[in-house]
Amino acid sequence: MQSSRRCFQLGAALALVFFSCGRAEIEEYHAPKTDFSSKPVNIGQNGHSHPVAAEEPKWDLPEGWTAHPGSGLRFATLHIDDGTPPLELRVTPLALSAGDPLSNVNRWASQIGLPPYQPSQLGSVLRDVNIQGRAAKVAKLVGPPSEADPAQQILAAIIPGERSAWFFMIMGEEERVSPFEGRFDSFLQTVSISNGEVPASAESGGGSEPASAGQSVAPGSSGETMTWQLPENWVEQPGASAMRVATIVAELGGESAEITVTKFPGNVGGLLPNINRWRGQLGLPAVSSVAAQPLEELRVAATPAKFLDLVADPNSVGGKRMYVVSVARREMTWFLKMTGPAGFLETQRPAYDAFVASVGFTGGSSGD
Amino acid sequence: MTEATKPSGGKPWLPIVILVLGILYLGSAFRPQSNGTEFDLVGFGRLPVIDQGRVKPLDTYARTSLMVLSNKQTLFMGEGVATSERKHPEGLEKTAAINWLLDVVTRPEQARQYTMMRVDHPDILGLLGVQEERQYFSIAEMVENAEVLGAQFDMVQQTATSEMTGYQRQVLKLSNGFSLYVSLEGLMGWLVVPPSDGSENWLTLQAASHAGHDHASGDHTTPAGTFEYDYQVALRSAFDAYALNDPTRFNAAVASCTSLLETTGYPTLGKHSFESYFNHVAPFVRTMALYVLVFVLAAFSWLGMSRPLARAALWVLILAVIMHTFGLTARTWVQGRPPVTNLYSSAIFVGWGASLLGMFLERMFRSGIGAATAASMGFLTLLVAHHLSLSGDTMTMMQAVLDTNFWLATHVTVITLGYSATYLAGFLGIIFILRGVLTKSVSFDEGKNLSRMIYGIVAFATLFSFVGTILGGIWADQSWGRFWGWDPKENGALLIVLWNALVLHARWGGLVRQRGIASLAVAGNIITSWSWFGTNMLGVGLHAYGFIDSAVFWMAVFVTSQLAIIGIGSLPMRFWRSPVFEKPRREATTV
Amino acid sequence: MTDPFRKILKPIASVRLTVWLLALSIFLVFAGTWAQIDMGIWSTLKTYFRSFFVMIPLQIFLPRDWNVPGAIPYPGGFVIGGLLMVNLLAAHATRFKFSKARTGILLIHLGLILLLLGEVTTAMLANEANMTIDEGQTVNFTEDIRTVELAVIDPSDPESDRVVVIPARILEKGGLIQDRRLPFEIQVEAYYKNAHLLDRKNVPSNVVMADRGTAVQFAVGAVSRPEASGVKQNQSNMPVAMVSVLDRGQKVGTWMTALYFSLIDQPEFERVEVGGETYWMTLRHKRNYKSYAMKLIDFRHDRYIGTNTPKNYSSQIQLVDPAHNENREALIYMNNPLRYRGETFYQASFKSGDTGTILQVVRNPGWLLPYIACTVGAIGMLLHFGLSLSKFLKKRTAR
Repeated sequence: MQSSRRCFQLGAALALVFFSCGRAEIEEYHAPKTDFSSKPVNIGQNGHSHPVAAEEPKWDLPEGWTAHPGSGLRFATLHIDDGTPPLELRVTPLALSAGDPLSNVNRWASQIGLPPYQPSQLGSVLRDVNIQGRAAKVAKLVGPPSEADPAQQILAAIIPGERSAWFFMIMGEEERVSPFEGRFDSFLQTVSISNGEVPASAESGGGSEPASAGQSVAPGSSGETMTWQLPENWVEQPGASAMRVATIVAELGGESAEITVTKFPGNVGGLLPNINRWRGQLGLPAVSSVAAQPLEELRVAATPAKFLDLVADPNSVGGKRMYVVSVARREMTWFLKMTGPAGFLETQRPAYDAFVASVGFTGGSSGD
Repeated sequence: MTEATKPSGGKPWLPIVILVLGILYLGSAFRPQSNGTEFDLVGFGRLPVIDQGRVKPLDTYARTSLMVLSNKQTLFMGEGVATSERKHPEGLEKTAAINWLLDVVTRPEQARQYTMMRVDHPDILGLLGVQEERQYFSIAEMVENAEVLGAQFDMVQQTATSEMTGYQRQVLKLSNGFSLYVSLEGLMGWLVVPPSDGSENWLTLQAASHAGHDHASGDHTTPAGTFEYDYQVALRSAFDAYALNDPTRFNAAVASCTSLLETTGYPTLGKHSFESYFNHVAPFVRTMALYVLVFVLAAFSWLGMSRPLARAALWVLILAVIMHTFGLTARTWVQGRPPVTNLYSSAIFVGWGASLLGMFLERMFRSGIGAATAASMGFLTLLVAHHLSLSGDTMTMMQAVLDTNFWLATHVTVITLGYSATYLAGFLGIIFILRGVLTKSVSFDEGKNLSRMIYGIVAFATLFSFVGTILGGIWADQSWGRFWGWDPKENGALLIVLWNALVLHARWGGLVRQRGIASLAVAGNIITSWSWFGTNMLGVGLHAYGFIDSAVFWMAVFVTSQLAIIGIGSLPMRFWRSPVFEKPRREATTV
Repeated sequence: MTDPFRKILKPIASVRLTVWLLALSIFLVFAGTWAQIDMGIWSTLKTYFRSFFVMIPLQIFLPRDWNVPGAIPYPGGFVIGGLLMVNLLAAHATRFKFSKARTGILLIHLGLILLLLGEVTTAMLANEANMTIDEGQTVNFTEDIRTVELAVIDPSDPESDRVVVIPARILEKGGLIQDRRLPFEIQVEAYYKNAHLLDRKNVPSNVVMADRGTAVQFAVGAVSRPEASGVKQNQSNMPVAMVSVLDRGQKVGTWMTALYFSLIDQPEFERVEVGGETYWMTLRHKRNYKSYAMKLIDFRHDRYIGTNTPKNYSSQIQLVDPAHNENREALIYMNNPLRYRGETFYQASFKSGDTGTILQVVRNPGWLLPYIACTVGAIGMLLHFGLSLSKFLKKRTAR
C-alpha cells in the first residue's frame, strides 16, 4: 500500500534523526573578550605565585649578582654567587592575605627542620624593617644539621605592595648563605614596588595609610542624620537614595565586602519580617518567631539595638555572611548591614564593631 | 406524558410543603447582621485591613484568625472569660470572632487567658503536662511552658516540611498559631490605613501616626490633616473606646472611619460590606444541610411514594444549587477572579458542577438517581472544602505565574468541570452497584437508564477533561515554553482523560456492559481523587500548591471504599438482588 | 484493500488492543509520577516517557524506608505511544468509513496523532536554556544548566577570545584529550559528576589533588558525591574535573576545575602558562553564544504587600542585535514572553536578593503542532459529542 510505504519512510527518517543527535564534540569558536586582568593571584603549591598585572618591584642589583627572569609563577631569580648550582635569591609575589608573618615563618621553619614558632617567639627570628616607606618583615632562620645534610639557613623578607605581598628568599647551606646577610639587607633597602595600572575599585584609601577619619553625614528627610567614623580600608561610594543612606566598600587583600546604611520610617513591619528578609537573602529558611533567631542586644548612640550574624551554609566554601545592626530610633529604623565572604567578614569584625560604636545621630526632632 | 398519570403514591402537596420549608430555611440565612451589643461591631467589621496581601474586612480577619487557632469562627464568651470548649461553664454565650479580636487587642492580659488554641496531638498535650480531656488552651498556658515549647518550635524549624512526622507538623502549626496571635496583639503593626493617593502603599497605624508631621518645621502640634493621620486617629480611638467600654464613643469613631473612607473615595467599601455579610450568611453550611435533605428524599423515593418524593428531591436540589451558585458567585465577585483559584475553591466548584449536572439528569429521568448523586457529591465536596478552610483565609492571592484571569477562567474551570463529571459518573456507578446488588429496587428499564446516564456523563467528562488538559498545555507553552512537562499534576489530568477514553472505547468495543461500565466509572473516582489531591500529597512539581495532613488517611479510606464497591459490582449477575439484567416481556413494545 | 493485508491489520486495529494500550499507558504515567519523587522530572522524562523500555522499581510506590527490591520490566513511552499510533492508523485503514457521522471521531483521532507527533518533535528538536543577567549587565549567551563544558580560553587576540570547549561527555570518558585546536594536551585525572568541596586537610589521601590554581589558593579539594535528584530545591550537580595540562608530553601541573568556581560572585578562572603564553580554563555550564545581546535594565519583583508572596516578576531588557539591525526594549513578565527569531524568552526565575533575572530561552520548531492538534481535536469533539447529545435528546422527547 502506498500509504504504508510512506509511513515506513517517515518512520525511518525520524529514527535516523533521533539516533544522530546527542553526540558530544569538542568545538572552537570566538567569543567577546573576558576581562582577566583583575584576576587575583593564584598560588602554586610550593609558594610559587603568579605575578599580577602591572605591579613590579624594582631594585638596585649589587655587583656580581645576575638577574634572571622568572618562569612559571616566579617573578625573578637572582643568582648571587658563582657556585654550582648558584645560590639563588627568589622573588615571588603572593596574595596580600598570604603575607601573614607567623604562617610564613613556620612554613620556612618546616623547610629547614625547625619546630613551629609561637607568636611570642617570632621576635627572635623576625624583625620589622622600613623599606622605602613600606612596613616589611625580615626573617633569618637557621636550622639544625641532620645526619646527611649540614644545617640550612633561610634569609627572607616580606614586603607588602598594593596588590601582592612580595617575598624575597635565599635558602641554602648555612655556610654559603650566612656571608650574604649584610648584602641581603642592603639589597632590600633598594627595593621599591611601583604601582602599575590599578583598577578603579582598588584605589582610594590604600592599605598602608593610617585609619582615615572619614566622617559621613547621611541626609534624611526626617531631620535626623547619622554620623560615623570609617575604619581603615573602608571607602564610601558615591550616590545615595531615599532609603539607602550610604554604601561603603571594605577591601583588603583582594577580598571585599559591602556595607550599606539604610533607614525606613516606622518599624518597617517589625523585626521578624526583616530577619526573614535577610535570611532569605542568604538562602536561609525563614523563622517563625524572633525567638528563633540568635540576636545580641547592644546600644548604638544610647539607643537599644539588635545585632545579628548570619552565615549562609557554613559547609560551603566562600559562603556569604551578613552582619546586621538594627537601630530603632524615634521615627526611623536604621539598618547597618555588611555582606561579604564569610572568612573576610570574620577578619573585619573588629572594624565593623568599631564602625557601629562610632555611630552618632545629629539633628532631628525632639520626639513625641 | 403517560408517566404523570401512573399511580405512584399521590400526595401532590408534599413537594410543595417541603419546598416552602426549604425556602424558609434558606431565607433565614439572609437575615441582616446584628450586633448583639451596643457596640457597632458590624460597622467596625466592615473596615478594611490588608492581611497576606489581600484587602479584606476586619470581620474576615477576625473570623479566619480565630478559625486558624481554634477551628471555629465563634467562641463562648462571658464576663471576662472565654473558651472554645463545647463543655463550657454556664453563662457563656456563642459570640462572633470580632469580639474576640477586639479583646485580644484592647484587653491583652485578659485575652491571653482565653482557652481557644486548639491542640489535638497527644504528645503535645503530654508536653504541656495535661491529663484531663481538653482540646483548647490559652496563650498564657503556652507562655508558662515557653521553654519546652520554644525548644520544640526551634527544632521543627530545622526540619524540611516533606520530612516531618505528624507530631512535628502539629508543633509547626502551634508555632505558627503562636506567631499569629502575637501579630494580632501588635495593633500598631496592622496594615489598616489605606493610601489616599491611589497607590498600594498601605500604612500601619504606627506609620500613619507620623504621616501628618511637618518635617520642615518639625512641628508636631498641628497635624497636617491628611487622610492617613485622621483615619488612624479615629481608628485608634475606636480601640480605646472599646477598652474603656464606651459604646457611644466607639460607634462615633467607627462612623468617623467610615465617613473618612467614603469622602476619600476608597473604592471597595461596598465589597467589604458584602464580604462581611457573606461571612454572616455562610451559604455553604445551609447548602450542605439541603443536600442531606435531598439525599434522604431521593433515597426514600426508591422505597415508595416515588413520584412526590422524587419531585420534592428535585425542587430542594434546585434550591440547593441556587444557594451553592450564590456562594460561588459571591466569592467570584468579592475576589474579582474566576471561580477556581485554589484548592478550597476547586472543591466548591467540583461540587457545584456535579450538582448542576445531577440536577439536569434528575430533570431528565426523574428517578431520584440524579438527585441522589448530586446531593452526595455536593455534600462531600463541601465537607472537604470546610476542612480546607481551617487553614485560614480561603480567598488567597494568586502566585505570580497563576496571576492570569484568562487561563484561570478557561483551563482551570474546564478541567474542574471534568473532575465533576468524572466523579458524577463514578457516583452513578456506585448507586447502580449498591442498589442493584443490595436492594431489589432497580428494574430493567431503570438499569438501562442508569447505564445510559453513566455513558453520557463519561462522554461529557472526556470532552471536558481533554479540552481542559489541552488548555493547560497551551497555558504552559505560553508561560514557560513547554506544552507538556510530565509533572505530577499534568500527569494526573492526563490519567483522567486516558481513563475516560478507556471506558468509552471499552463500551464501543463491546468489552464491557452494564456492570463493567459501572465498575469502570467507580474506578474513575479513584483516578480523579489521585489527580486532584494525591498529586499534591507528593509535594513534587510545579502544581504543589497545598498540603493537607489527615487527608492521606481519608484518601486511603476513600480508595478502599471504591475498591470494595468495585468488588461488589464484579459479583456475577445471579448475586444481584435487583432484576436489572432480566429483560421483561412486554405486551406492546414502545420505542 | 487486499485480503491478506486486511488479515494482518485487523488485530492491530482492534478496539481491544486500544483498551489494553490505554491501560498500559495509564500505568506508565502513574509510575512516572511516583518516580519523580526520587529522580526529578528530567530524568523521569528520559527514563519513562522518552524511551523504549524501562524497569519500574517497586520501591517508588512504597514508603522509602521499606527498602523493597525488584522491578517490573515495562515498555517505554515511545513504544506505547508508537503502538497507539499504529493501532489508530490501522483502525482507520480497515474499519472506518468516511461518513458524516464519523467526521467527529476522525478529527479527534487526527488531533491525537498530531499531539503525539508534537511530543516526539519536542523530544528531539526542542532546546531549553537559561539566560542569567544581573541588573545593568549585558549578556550574549545562554547556558544549558543540565550540562557542563571545560572551556580553554586563549586571550591573545585583542579583538576576541578564542575558546575551545570540551563537553562533559568527553570529560566523563576520561583519559588523554588531544586536539589540534587545544593549545596543550589535557589529561583527565578524574571527573566527578557531583562533588563536595572540602578543606584540603580533610580530603582522603588517595584522592587526586590539584597543585595549581584556585584549589590551591583556597586550599580545597574535591571528593565525589552521588548525583543530585534535582527534586529538592537548590540541589543540583556540582561537577568537578581534575585535569592535568601537558605541554608536548611534559606535565605542567594539575588543576581542579569546578563548576562551583564559575558560579560564585567573583568567578575564578584557572591560569595556565604554556610555552610562554597564558591561557585560562574554567568548568562552566555549557554556553551557546548568540548574535544578539540582552541587557537587563530593571528587574522587578513585586510582592503582595505585607508578605513575601510574589505578585509579579518582570524584566525590562534591551535587545541589541547588530547583525539584524535590532535595538529595542522589551518587558518580559510571567505569562508574557518575548519571541525573537525562533526563540522565546520566558521570565523563569531570579537571583536571590532580586539582583538579577533568569530567563528561560526555548527553541522548539514543533511548537505549532499542539495548537493545531488542539483545534482539530476540539472541533472533532464538539462535532461528535454534539451529535450524540442531540440524538440522545431527540430520543428522550420522542417518548
